[in-house]
Amino acid sequence: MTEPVVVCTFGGTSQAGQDETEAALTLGRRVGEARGGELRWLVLGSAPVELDAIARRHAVVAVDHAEDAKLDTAGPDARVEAVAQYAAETQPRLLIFNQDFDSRRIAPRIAARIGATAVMNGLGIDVAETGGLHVISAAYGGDTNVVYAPDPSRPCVVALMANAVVAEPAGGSAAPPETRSVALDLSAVEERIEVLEPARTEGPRLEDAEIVVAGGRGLGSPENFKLVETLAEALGGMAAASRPLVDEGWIDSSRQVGLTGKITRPALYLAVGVSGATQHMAGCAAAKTIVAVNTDADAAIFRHARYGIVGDCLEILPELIRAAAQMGAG
Amino acid sequence: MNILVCVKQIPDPAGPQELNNDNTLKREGKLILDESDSYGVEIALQLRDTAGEGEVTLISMSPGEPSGLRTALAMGADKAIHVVDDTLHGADALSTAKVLAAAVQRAGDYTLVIAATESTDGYTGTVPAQLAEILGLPSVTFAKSIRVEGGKVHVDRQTEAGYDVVEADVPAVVTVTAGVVEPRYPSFKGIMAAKKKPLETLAVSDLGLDLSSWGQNIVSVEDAPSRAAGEKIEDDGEAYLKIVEFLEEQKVI
Repeated sequence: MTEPVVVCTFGGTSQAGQDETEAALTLGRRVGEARGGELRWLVLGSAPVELDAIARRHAVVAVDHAEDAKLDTAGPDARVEAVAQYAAETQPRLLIFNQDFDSRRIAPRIAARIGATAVMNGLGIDVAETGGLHVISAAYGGDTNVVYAPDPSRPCVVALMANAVVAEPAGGSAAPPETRSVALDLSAVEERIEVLEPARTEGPRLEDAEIVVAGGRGLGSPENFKLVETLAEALGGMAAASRPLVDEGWIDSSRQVGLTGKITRPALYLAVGVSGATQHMAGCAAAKTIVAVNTDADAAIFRHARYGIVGDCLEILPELIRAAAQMGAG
Repeated sequence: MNILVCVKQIPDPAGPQELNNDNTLKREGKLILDESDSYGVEIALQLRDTAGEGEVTLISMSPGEPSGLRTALAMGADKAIHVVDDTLHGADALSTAKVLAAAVQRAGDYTLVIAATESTDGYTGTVPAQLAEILGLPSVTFAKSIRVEGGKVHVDRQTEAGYDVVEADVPAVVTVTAGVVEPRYPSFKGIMAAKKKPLETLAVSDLGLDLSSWGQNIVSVEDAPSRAAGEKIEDDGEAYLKIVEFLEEQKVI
C-alpha cells in the first residue's frame, strides 16, 4: 500500500448521504489518480446497502469495513479511536470525510491523535506538479477561499463540504474491490458524552426538499414567518430560515439553512427577507434556481438570484400565496 | 466555579484584510475580540455568577497588544493569560491547540474550558476539539446552553436534527455556537476595572513547548466566486407576477 487515499464514511443510507459519499469518492479517486495512491473506502459501522455498486462505480480498490458494537451508536470516542487504529495500520496520505456535525466533532480530534494536518470546510483538492496536495477550503464564513499546502510528511485529514464536488463515476469497468474486515480493539473505549435526549428526527428533511421557501430577518416579526410557511405549503415545499431567526427562536434549528445548519439542494430556493450572508449561501448555493425578494437593492442575495425583486416581502408574499392557491385549486 | 475561556483577537473583520507575503493574515494593527468568542465569555460569566464563586480566566494566543482581551476583561472576566511570541507566526490549528493546552495547564483548577465553535477569520473549527484531545478531556460541541450540576456538565447540543441533551463529566471542553446568548456590553466601570485586572504575558519557551514547523503553508487566498446574477427588478406592485410566471414555467404551480 503506497500512501493510500482513504474516504471514511459512517454507516447510513440516506440519499443525501449517498450523494455525498459518492462526491468524496470522486474526489479521492481523482487525487489518487493524479499522484498515484490507491483509493480505499473505510466504512465505520453498518455498511450501506449499495456498498458494492458504489465502490465499483468509483473504482475503489479496497473496502475496509470496521464493525464493532461501539461504532453503531455514533459515539465520537469510539470513532476517533477506530480511525486512529486504522491509520496506524494503513498509513493513509489523505483521509477524506464528508463534513457534517458528526465529522466536525471527530475529524480534528483524529488529526490531533495521529499528528495529521486537518482542513475543514473543504471545497476541493488539487495535486501540484510536485505531487503535493493543494487543499481548497472556505474561510471567513465562506467569503474567502484559502488554498493550503499540507506538510507532505504527515497525513492530511480533509472534511469535504456538501455540494462542493459533483459526484462522477469512474467510467470503464472497474474490478470488484477487495473487501476486508478491519481488526480493531475498542475494548478500552468508554464514551464520555452521554446523550440523555436525542434530537427528534420527524417528518421530511429540508435537505431532500425540491422547493424551499426561506425567510430571513427582513420579515420583521415571528408572525410574518407564518407567511413563509403558508407559501411553502401552497407550493408543496418546505419552510426554512436563516440563522438569526433560529437564534431568535422563531423556528427550530432543524429548519436552519447555512454553513452551521442544513445544506439544501432544491430545484427552487425562494428567499424572502434573506440578506444572503455567505454563511447562509453555503446552505443554498447548490439550488438549481434562487429567487429572492428583498427591500435592499444592494443585498448580497441578488448576486446569486436568477430572479430578484427589490420590494417588500410582506406585500409580495400574500400575492404569491394567493396565486399559488389559485393555481393549486385550478 | 473556575472557567477558562479561549478567545482570539483578530483584525476587525469590517475593515480591509491584508495579507503578508506568506499569505497569512496581517495582524499588526489594532486587534479586537472575535465576536464569536463574546458568546462564550458571556456564558462563562453567567455560569460563574450563578455558582456565586470562582473566576473566569481568558486564554489567548495572538500577536500584539491585548486590546481584545481587555474587552473581555471589561465584560467581567477576572484575569487573562496571553501567549505572545513571534515564532508562532503562521501556526496551524494543531500547534495553536498545543499552545492553548499548555496555557490551560498553568491556569490552575477549572471546571470547564469554553471556546467558540469557530473563529471568524480562519474559520477552521478545529482548535477546540484538538485542545480537548490533547488535554484528554471530553469534547462537547455546538452548545446552545450549558449547565453544571453534580460534577456533570449538561449541554443542549446542536445536531442535524435539532438539539440533543447531553451530559459529560467535568472538566470538559465545550464549544459554544454564536448567537446563543446576548453578550453584555462592557460598562464604563468595567472598562476602568479591566485596566487593573491581572494579565499574564507568556512566550512559547515559558510553556516548555518546542514548536518548530507548521503542518501547512498557505498557497493562496482569494474571494470565493459567486454565481452569475440574473434579472433584478424593482417592485412596482406587480413584480410578484414575474415570480408566478417563472413558477409556472418551472411547473411548480
